[in-house]
Order: sequence, then structure tokens, then C-alpha cells
Amino acid sequence: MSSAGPTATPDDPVGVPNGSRVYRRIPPVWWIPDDDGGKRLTSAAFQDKDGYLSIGVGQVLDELGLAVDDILIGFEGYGLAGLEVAWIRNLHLGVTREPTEDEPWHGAIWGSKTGSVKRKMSEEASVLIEPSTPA
Amino acid sequence: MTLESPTSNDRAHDDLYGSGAAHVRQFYITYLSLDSVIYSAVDTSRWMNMFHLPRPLEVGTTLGRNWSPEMYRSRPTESGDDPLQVAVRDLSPETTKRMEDASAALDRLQELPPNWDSYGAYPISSKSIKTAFTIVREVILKGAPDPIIVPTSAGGIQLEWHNAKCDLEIEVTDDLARAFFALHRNPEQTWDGRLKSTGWHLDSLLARLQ
Repeated sequence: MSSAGPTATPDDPVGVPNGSRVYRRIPPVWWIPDDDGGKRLTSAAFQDKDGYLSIGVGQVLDELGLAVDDILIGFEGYGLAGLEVAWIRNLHLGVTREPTEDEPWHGAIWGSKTGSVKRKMSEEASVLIEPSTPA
Repeated sequence: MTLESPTSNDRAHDDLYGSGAAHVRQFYITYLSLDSVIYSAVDTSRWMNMFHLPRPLEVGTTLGRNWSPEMYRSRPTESGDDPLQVAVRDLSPETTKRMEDASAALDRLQELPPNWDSYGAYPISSKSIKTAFTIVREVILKGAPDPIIVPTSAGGIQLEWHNAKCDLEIEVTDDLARAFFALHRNPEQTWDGRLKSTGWHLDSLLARLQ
């Protein structure tokens, strides 16, 4: 992880380039009814936990030769949403790689996510795989 | 659901309505019928002499047939003031069902296992559920539409309303409530923060949803 200073938002434009995408698993409870009888992604899907938002880094998936939907292995019923990294950085947010033992592609989106920011993210995100509908 | 007195939710209440008069001068004792369980009650122990209360009302108290609503109406003080107004209202079957549905939806969130979001989400806290129900109950009593209820990774709850005119989202974490409101105009107007600090009140936001 690189940063410009002790208080700066963590960001890693080299490890997570602007031309790439990041992905987030979506449990069925975040797939809510919309006005038209369809479904929409709640902005709650983009709320931080412990100061950052967990994501899967597309660049790492590419490096590992994995498909995007490999992120969902072991998570039956979950959906998958994607965002462009450049678009995220335009919100003054940072994106870094934060690999874990189980998920080497794991990353984080850093920075303040107000209600307005979360709403923008939920509207911009493309839902690649819809979550299953809760029983 | 077992609920504590809303006094434990004063911070959220103040966020929504501002501190002071609103919850001192007027409060609701809501119930389903004379035989049913009180959904909410303030700490009435200090009002026992002022009202004709045989005992403090507590959430979960069952109102017997001998408990007339008249018993909970305030009496004028010696100065002629009526410093406390207790609003007692019957709930329609439809309102009752909406409250029960909301309560059940919130209870279901408490059953979510740890890591329910696959990213280490915290279980939904009982405080968040109580605070959320306090808000939902107010929403229903004010005649506003039911919210969509979703959990948050931090162990909180988000209440959402969306229509062609606006979006309203209230994020509850334990006993704190924060709101985001967007009015769909050209250009769009948005507001984000604790309601108390800006003078925005839940009523004015809910009015936009009608």
C-alpha cells in the first residue's frame, strides 16, 4: 500500500490501475425492490466496515488467470457487482490491494463514504450476476 | 421482540426530532387494543402521580380491560397548564399489521449469522434493531410508507424509501441515526447528516414521500 502522507487516503494506482475494475459480492438481502417491480442494489452494499470497503481486484484476478465469477465460489446465492477503478478515484476514494490468505485478489476502497457517495456507487455499479431472491 | 423504553433511544430520538420539547411535552402510548401489548412506552414512573397510573407502563405491559385510555390522559396542573400531553390512540388493524411486519423483518435481521455479507460483517446489534423499530413505529404512526429494511456490514440497519420524487435513507448504528435525502430536481438537491444538527426533521423528509 502506498500513500502520500500519514493522513492521506490510501491509494495504489500502480497495483490497481485506473483502467481496471473491482468487484463486490452482493448477498440477497442487499437486492431490494425498485419502483418498477424489479430489483435494485441498496446503497448499504457500499458501506464501510472498519474503515474500508472490501472488494475483489480485477487486476489480480487477471494476473492469477481467474475468471471474475471465481469470486463467488463457495458463496451460493450471492450476486456480483462491478465498478470501474477510475470512476471510484473520481469520488476522491483510494483503491488498494489487501490480499488475504483465502482471497489473494482481496482489496479495499478507502475514503469517506457519505450517504451521497454510497448512493452514487450503488447507481453506478453494474450487477454482473444477480443475487438469488430471498425465500 | 422485547423493547426497552424509548428513553434508551434518546440520542436517536434527538437526532430525528431535536432535543427538548418534542419528547417531553408529548409522547405516544400506543397499543393494539385494551387487551394487547404496549409497543412503546416512555418511562412513566415519574408521571404516576400526575396521571392515574396504577403502575408504570412498560413495554410489554398488557393492557387489561380495566385499563381505560382515560387513565393515561394528563390532568391540568394547579397553574392551569397542561405540561404533559399524552396522546393515546387506537391502532387500526392495518397499522397493527404494518408494525408487526416491520418487527418481524427486524427480528429476521438478528438471525443473520456472522460474516453474512462474506466480508466479515458484524451481526446486527440488538440496539440497532430497537432504534430502527423506534423510527419505523414513528414512520407508521405518521402515515408514511413502509421503508425497505436492509442490514449493514457494520452491524446496523438502513431504512430506505425511494420514489420518483426523492430518495430517503436512514442509517442506524446502535442508537445513532444518520440520514441521506435526495430530492430529484434539476439540479438534484441532496442533504446528508444527522437530522438534529441542521434543523431537518423526520417529518419534513417523510412529507416528501407522500
